[in-house]
Amino acid sequence: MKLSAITKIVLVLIIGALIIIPQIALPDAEFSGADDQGGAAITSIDPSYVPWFESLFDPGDMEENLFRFQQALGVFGLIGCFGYLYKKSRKNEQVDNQLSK
Amino acid sequence: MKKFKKSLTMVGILVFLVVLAAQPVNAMHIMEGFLPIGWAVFWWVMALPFIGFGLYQVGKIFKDKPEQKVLLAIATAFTFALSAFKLPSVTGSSSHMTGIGLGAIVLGPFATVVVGTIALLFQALLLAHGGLTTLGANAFSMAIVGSFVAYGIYKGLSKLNVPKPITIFLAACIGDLMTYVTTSVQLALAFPDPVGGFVASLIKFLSIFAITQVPLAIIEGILTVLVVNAIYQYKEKGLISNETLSDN
Repeated sequence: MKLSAITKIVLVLIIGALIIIPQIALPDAEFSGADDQGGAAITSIDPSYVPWFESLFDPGDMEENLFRFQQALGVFGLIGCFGYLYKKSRKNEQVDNQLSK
Repeated sequence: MKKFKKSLTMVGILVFLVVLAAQPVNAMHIMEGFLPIGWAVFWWVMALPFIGFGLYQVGKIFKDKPEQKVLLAIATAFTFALSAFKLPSVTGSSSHMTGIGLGAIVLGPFATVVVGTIALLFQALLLAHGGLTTLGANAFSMAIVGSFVAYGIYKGLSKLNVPKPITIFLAACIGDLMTYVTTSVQLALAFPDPVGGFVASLIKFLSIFAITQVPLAIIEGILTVLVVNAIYQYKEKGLISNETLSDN
């Protein structure tokens, strides 16, 4: 499997379109989280239901930053892994070149 | 030079993801305390054997296949990144991807159960997103159903000689979607509608979780194709050996 550069660009553009289209099509939407709506649906099905356990740690205003922290962990992890593979492949190539000299 | 271009594409994709991070997430997963205690226990019991065998598999990777550790790291980082990106959807609400399909394709389903559960545990403890009592149910839908569906589709279509990019896309996309279908089933089982019963509840939860997820599942499918493609180029060079990621 090897995708051409053009295929990759087209794929990235499709991703962009999928993200932008809902925001253009529904300019007034708040895009609130689906889990909050799920919670609301539970309450409408069973109004007497009370969540029986609370989160041990309430991040409060920090929540947004903690999500960014998680994103950063993931993104930098990916950069690190592919950087490692890239360096390793460069090193192997240099060794090959020296051997063939 | 070619290689440089390739890594540039990867960096481009990642920067693109960072730009998306404009809105942090608050979506999906069953919230803490929102499953009655019986169901919370039930899903924990269902999930534990998978997590246990998954841990055994991850241990085996560290012991016997150290060259696969980088794949484990990539799968974990991918799931961490994707499950923290809130994306708007056609339903006017938002949700996030799971990133599970990638792990299922490059590592197999059991190791991926561990990857997904770690991400869920992190979110439950630190972000009050999902929860400890609902971790069993959320691990079952995302880490177990998601990875086994993705793995099954990947293996099945590979046998049928479907082109690899399409196989990978469908595996990751449908795996993501089935996670949210499972969430809806779990909630409908716990909260049947007093009039319409399980089915009425299921339709209600599906319309919240699964329909919101459709465009996101497509995005996850495409991202997974791009990342597997990058991994595959390094596999070709002999830097990664693995059985799951078969040839062609």
